[in-house]
Amino acid sequence: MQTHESTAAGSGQRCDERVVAAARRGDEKAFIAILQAYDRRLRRIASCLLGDRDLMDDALQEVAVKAARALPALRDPDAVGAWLARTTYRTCLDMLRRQRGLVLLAPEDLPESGDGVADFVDELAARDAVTRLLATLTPEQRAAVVLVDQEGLDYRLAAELLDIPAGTIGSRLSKARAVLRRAVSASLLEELS
Amino acid sequence: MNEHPDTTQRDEQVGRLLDTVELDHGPAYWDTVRSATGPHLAKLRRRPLWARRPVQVGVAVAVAAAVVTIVLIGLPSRNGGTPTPANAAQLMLAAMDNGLLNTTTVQGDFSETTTVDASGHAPAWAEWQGSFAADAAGDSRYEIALAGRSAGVGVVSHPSMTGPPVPSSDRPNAIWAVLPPARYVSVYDASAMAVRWASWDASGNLTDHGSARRWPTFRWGQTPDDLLQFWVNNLAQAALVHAAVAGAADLPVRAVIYEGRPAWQATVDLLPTYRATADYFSVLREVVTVDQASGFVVRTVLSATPGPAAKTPGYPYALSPYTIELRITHLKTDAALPASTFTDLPKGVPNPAPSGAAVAPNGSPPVTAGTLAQAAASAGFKPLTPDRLPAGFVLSATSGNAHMGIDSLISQFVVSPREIDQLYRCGFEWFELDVIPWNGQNRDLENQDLKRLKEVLLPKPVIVVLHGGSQAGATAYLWQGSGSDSATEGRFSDHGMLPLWASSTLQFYGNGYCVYLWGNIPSKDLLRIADSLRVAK
Repeated sequence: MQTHESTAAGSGQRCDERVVAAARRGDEKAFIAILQAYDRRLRRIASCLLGDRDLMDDALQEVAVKAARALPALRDPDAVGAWLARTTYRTCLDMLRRQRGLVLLAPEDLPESGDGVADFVDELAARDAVTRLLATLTPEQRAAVVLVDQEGLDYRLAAELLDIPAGTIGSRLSKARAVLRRAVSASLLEELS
Repeated sequence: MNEHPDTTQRDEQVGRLLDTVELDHGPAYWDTVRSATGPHLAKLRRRPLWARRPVQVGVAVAVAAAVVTIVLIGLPSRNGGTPTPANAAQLMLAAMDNGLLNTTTVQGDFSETTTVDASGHAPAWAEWQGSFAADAAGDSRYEIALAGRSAGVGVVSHPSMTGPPVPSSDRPNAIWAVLPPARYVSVYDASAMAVRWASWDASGNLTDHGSARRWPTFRWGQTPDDLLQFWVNNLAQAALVHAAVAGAADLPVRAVIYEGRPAWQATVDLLPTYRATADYFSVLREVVTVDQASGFVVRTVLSATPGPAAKTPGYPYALSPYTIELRITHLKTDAALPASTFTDLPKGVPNPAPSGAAVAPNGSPPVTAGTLAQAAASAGFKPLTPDRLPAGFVLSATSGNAHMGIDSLISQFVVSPREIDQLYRCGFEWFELDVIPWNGQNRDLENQDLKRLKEVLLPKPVIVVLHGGSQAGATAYLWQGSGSDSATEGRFSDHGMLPLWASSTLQFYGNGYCVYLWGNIPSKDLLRIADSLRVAK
């Protein structure tokens, strides 16, 4: 474990007030600049929750559309990053709830027999070991470790983004870390270290 | 673990572990985001200033900023030429999306010229002209007249039908065309699902008038308005440009002036539907001109040049360039139109009450229905309906046992007298959901069907496994084409010799149903809809 300052890593980038104001007037360049400023964090949240690049892009595109619609109400530049992260989290949860994932395959990838489709999709989902590990966590637990262990937010900020009590973050983290540490071999952890 | 809320304890090893699954965006991600959010940003740019921010001293600054923004984003630069091609393509696409989604009414005049320059002979040509009006509810009005034809075009007259030119078997290098009467008027009242028409001969005598309860079929060969509805609704061209922009970041787009108005012009190379067709046409190219202010297509020029099989005797179209040009002039959007525009035929013509039903191409009479329940009752089964719709879409019309647009290319082996169609609209965008009960009958034929499609079609289907709704587990085929959509498919395939593939067409044999989903909306939306289908209650 390592202790971090909660300032820069915690609050993330902040968009210039003028950029937000320009985006609210419909300036495409400004709007894209805002999305790009927070893109890495949003990608991390979405990829860990969804585990698939196409789904991640779908979710973040949906977030972008929601953001474009919500621009008139986004007056506080300090709140934009939190709003985007929270919306990404909720959008991913919605996506997980309403569909178990559309898997787009090239025609040549599909087995000839219709009976093999389910197995094939399972195999596809299991290709990435870490993705498989993450799949053992609940989406809520995944979001907690992404925000705290990957993004470096403190509990209060992470809780604010996820719209839950700060204490809940602690319990989710505890369970998620335990699962991940049990599942990941020592050699892999060493390699990562 | 009960840590203080302000704790910053972070498990670095877990963090690094998670870093390994960090994903990059797909190659077209930002383009897609720009396309998807463009219309919403355009709305903001059009909002009155008082709605953007409270009135204050800074209003003058805001006005200046808004003007600068509009100039930068909406118009070609005045001091350095035009926007870069990729940027211009995105701007054009955003304007088109905005036009389709937010325009309430559209009207104008049009002319269409078809030219076949048969080798060594004077070109055969035919020309129509007229006016149109349409609104976002699906109402439409068309007045069409044959403006001229060359001696190379033989005419087959028919009181209420028109059709594509076809090669003449008895006159080399000539074509026969079933052309419209001297004058033809069609009005369609979407709320009543009633179409009324009238036609006159060259002497001004009323030769035919009538009415029917049916949808606009979007099919050439039934009434002259069907094709033109596609053109003026800009469905074909909008989807075509959508696909082209998505498929090529460097789509050539340049700023032009059309009819005195700023416009964009894009050149799109098209992929024919059929392998055989590709042998006849080495290049299919469409030049699309889009009005910047409205986002509507105002001119299209389709040209085809001959391919290796063009030397086939008796195949005049492929011998030399074939051109179809449509021009829209006096374009006007968002003007208030009286309801009579879509219900009344010209003065002096009895306005017939809609009755009966047009005979569908497959021979089964369509039964238009006010509600989905009525359609289900008439067809005798419960259809699938989407649990989720793209924002703003609503069920616009439905019918049972109808045949309003199923692509016969796909469905020719699905033999069923029962079918329920649902049409959903949002502005000038739409999709159609066609559902046929299917319990594995003709499975062998259907398997052959899919194999045949793979063999004869150029566009490769994307295979999608549905994981949601009552059809979860079904393997669906999604044809996206390379620059064409269902509207252009209807347009070109029915022109006989230039068949192009529908853009967003999704088809599958699922749990108890055979389903076709198609329209001018992005294929991703079709997938989401397919993944939410459930049996109607």
